[in-house]
Amino acid sequence: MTVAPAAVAANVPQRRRALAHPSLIAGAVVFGAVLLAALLAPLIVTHDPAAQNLGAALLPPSGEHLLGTDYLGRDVFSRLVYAARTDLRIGAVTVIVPFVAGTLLGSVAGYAGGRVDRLLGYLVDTVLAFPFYVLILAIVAMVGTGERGIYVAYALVGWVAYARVTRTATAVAVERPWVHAARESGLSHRRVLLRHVLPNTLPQAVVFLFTDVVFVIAAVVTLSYLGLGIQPPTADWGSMIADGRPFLTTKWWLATAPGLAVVVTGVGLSLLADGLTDLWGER
Amino acid sequence: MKASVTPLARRAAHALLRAGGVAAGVVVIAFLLVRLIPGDAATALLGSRATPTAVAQLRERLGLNESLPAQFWHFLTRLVTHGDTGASLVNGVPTRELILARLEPTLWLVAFATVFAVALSVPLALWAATHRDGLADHVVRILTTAGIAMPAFWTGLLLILLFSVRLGWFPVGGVRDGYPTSIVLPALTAAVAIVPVLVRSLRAELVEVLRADFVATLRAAGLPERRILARHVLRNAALPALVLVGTNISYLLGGALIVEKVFALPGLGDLMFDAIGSRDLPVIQGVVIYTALAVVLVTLVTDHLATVLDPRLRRAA
Amino acid sequence: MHIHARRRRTAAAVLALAVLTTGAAACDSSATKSSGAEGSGGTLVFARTSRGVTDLNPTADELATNNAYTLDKIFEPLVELQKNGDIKPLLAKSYKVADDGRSWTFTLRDGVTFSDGSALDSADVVYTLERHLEHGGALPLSAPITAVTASDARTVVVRLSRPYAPLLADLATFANVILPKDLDGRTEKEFFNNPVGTGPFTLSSWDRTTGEITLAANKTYWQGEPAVDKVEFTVVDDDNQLLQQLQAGQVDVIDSVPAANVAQLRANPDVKVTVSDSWQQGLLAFNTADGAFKDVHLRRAVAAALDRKAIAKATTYDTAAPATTFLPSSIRFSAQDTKILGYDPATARAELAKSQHSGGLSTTLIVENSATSQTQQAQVVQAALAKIGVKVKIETLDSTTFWTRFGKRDYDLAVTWAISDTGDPSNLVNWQLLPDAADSYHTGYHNSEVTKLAAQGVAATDDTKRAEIYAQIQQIAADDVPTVPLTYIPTITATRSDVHGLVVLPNGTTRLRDVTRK
Repeated sequence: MTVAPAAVAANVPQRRRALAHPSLIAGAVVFGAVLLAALLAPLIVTHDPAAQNLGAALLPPSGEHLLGTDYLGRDVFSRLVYAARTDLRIGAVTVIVPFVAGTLLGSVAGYAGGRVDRLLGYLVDTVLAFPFYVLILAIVAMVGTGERGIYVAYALVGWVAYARVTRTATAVAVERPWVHAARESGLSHRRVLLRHVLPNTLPQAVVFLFTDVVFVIAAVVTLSYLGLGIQPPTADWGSMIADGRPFLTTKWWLATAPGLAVVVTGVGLSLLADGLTDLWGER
Repeated sequence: MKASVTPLARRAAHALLRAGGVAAGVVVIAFLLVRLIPGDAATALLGSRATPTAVAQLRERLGLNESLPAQFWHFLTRLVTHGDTGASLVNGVPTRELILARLEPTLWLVAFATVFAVALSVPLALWAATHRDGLADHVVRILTTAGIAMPAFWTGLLLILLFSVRLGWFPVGGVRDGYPTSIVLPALTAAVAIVPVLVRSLRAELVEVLRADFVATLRAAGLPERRILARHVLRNAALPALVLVGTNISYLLGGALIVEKVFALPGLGDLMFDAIGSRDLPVIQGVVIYTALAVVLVTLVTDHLATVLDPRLRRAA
Repeated sequence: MHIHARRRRTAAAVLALAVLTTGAAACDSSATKSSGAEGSGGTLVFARTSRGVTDLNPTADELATNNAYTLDKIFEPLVELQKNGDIKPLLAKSYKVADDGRSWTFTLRDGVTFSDGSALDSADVVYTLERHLEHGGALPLSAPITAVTASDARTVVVRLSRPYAPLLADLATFANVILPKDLDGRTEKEFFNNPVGTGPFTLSSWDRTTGEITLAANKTYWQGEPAVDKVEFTVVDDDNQLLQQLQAGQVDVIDSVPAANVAQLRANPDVKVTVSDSWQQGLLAFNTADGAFKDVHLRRAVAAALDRKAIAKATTYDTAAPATTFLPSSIRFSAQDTKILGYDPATARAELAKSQHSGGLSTTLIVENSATSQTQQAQVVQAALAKIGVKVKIETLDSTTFWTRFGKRDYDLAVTWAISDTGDPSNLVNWQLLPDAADSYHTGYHNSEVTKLAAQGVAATDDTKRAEIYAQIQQIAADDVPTVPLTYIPTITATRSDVHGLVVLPNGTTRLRDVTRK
């Protein structure tokens, strides 16, 4: 048990290299499977996800309907697969604006320092002072339910996290000798920032991007659950959970299956993010 | 020790000033935000009976026809002089009173969620840190990623299904059974959402601690590993964990509001959902402003605490 | 080392805090238990959705459901609605109409007292009706009343400018409950914060911040003290919680059981489910004044494309009857033999071909997000209309946004509901087909023939004559289709199985005076 500290330190790189990739691989496999299911949805599903059959509502799982049918007689399995399309698409689209805006603002603030940095810090603190769902709910109420509401709400709130991550990373990177060298060689601020600083800070923002997609999917699902998200009849995991909720005690799979889909997707993405951290950390 | 007091005090003063600025921003944003939501309290109250005449009459009575600057002036003077955002448009009770009456379940929820979060994340982080890159580390990693991805309402539903409906250990919701019985499941739900965040930071911190000189010294002195962990490492981890909860209070509180809905707890979240539903502007403003101010305060205190606790940060200051 | 010591102290403090909170919690829990939420036999815990009680004034500008459903336990009207929709004398022991139909004489019951011990007399009734005429409120007295007079201490005469058939139905509503004269000399605010009525219950406590209210049995109630000592009205604004709290015995009565869960509750021996007729209906409304649905053929096409039987069966789990006319079968003179545009794809296509949108069209449908069966109906409507080439986009809106847009007629199609305030057909005709009250329930519909018939229907005092008039109106509505009535929604209540004697009325409220627990 009592290993000498030096020995531990020596062992670490090897073991980490060996085990970092499993995280990446596991993440890629899990998330890849979800992504593939979403992309190939039309080939996988057994039924049209929107086709109703009022006479065959709420059937239990069977060979015909792998996860049974919902309250309008729609095939739950087919909806589950199509929901992956909806939620992944929305997750991916939603993070674009916050990612770009947050990374840019964070870089500028971290690079410029001083007043600009303080101003950004103030903005970040103000947005963070509001509990997350308070802001999101208010903005969605303002903009209107549906995808547009989600995009706008998250664009206004989500940039903060990227700005924070990038700002810290930039402030560290600016102190590096090669940045000083680049500045002294007469390069413009813009060029230094884009060519010499950003490449070093971007990986952290990208890693956070993966985690953020998980957050966004959870948030979208929560909004749909509250009736403020995706509009019917589009299948999404949140509204599927909400639809299944009255049958929680009698037909538990209706609400648990879409929830598990969210969890599996989230685990895949997070493992992928961890793997990337380790991979880029080694460089 | 003395030398570090002055910069620390200056740092505190700066932080206070900044918190004051944030508070002002919060007040203005809260005021504008609620007014941009379509629909008004008159329509909300009348519901299916919302005829144009009735709505117009009620709008007049509720004072919704004032100009925006006039409304802001009234709002600001009341906030400054009474610390209140006005009487509810729905039941006429001053918002401050409403918030005080609804504070209890939310405080219980946040307190217990904090306790649960610390109690869950410290052992998990320790387990992961002591088996770094081993099986335990990966198990903890997957468990916590699953925790991040689980929407709080869904976790809540599953907990209700298992512990209340199947096992009957806890009430399904509400606070009629009193505290803390009523609050155990909701607090656990809120904790599950924040544990992953805590475990990640703590694990990193513990890895550092385990590498620290004093641990090596203790090991060299022949102290059993278990004793080192229990006596020295664990103790040094609990408080940072608590500080971490403080830093993430906004996230915890936001989650708590959703959790209140799932468990039908009559707390601030419930008050806010109702107020948004009925466009009860004074109440939405009140809840938003007071929760935001609480977040600012907690962040201020924990940031300061973190600075005091962490020698590296203090040196940097 | 210094740091280390400080950390230790703080850690100890944290631990102490944790112990304290748990300790305090334990005390707190034992304290609440003794207040006896369940099992004391005399208390009935009644959980309702939506807002808590905000006001007990029957003539307030807004009469929220839970306000109305609470004040009717404290106050009573002259005549009372029965389970089957009939109206029987209550505080009035009898009434008489003059031959010309222009004056109604009410004789008050002897021995009725308010909960403060004072006796009810004709001055109280005159005061109440005059106050209502003056205040209006959410349910104004629309009868053409010219005078309310007391001819003696026990007799009240109501004079009208013209015959008005629905008078009794109007007098039986929540808004016409009898208040003591001059509110016992108190201000409106004082009085309704601590009301005095003739009803079976009195106000015991009222938490304004949550709207939770507790009523106590009126020991001097003129029909005898109710069997339960206390009724606690609590708010549980979540269907799932409502059901599970009932099944766990945390609450005793719930009055809005989701249709989806009726079967599940029926299987539970600890719970009793009651499905009762109500005056409520689910409907699809058209914006008949602007946009595509101005075209009557398009509306008729939609009506014929909808299988109301299948909709009722699937979206209300067989609890609601499919609707035919806009007058639910529980309402007087509902003509269930009206020739409606039933489900018939051929007719639907034929009507569509006659419309200006023979090639189909794209449109939107708004619906409240909080009502599961309505969002479900919206999706069924969407699927059905797709089959005749009408593409529908659904917008689920939060309640307030929905009523804002619906009220401004800012929509094309809307799936929603309506309830009658009185069981008289004139009420729904007024609300749904006449432009004056609510823009024909925000459809913008207007038909001068209906307006003329409606006036006749109110003035006619002969029941056969009235039946004939309302049958005509129903036929016109079925042909013009300002709305497609989808379902007649019942009131579904559930109680613990030891609760007996609960009466559910067609206006959605419950009568608790005969409730016993054993």
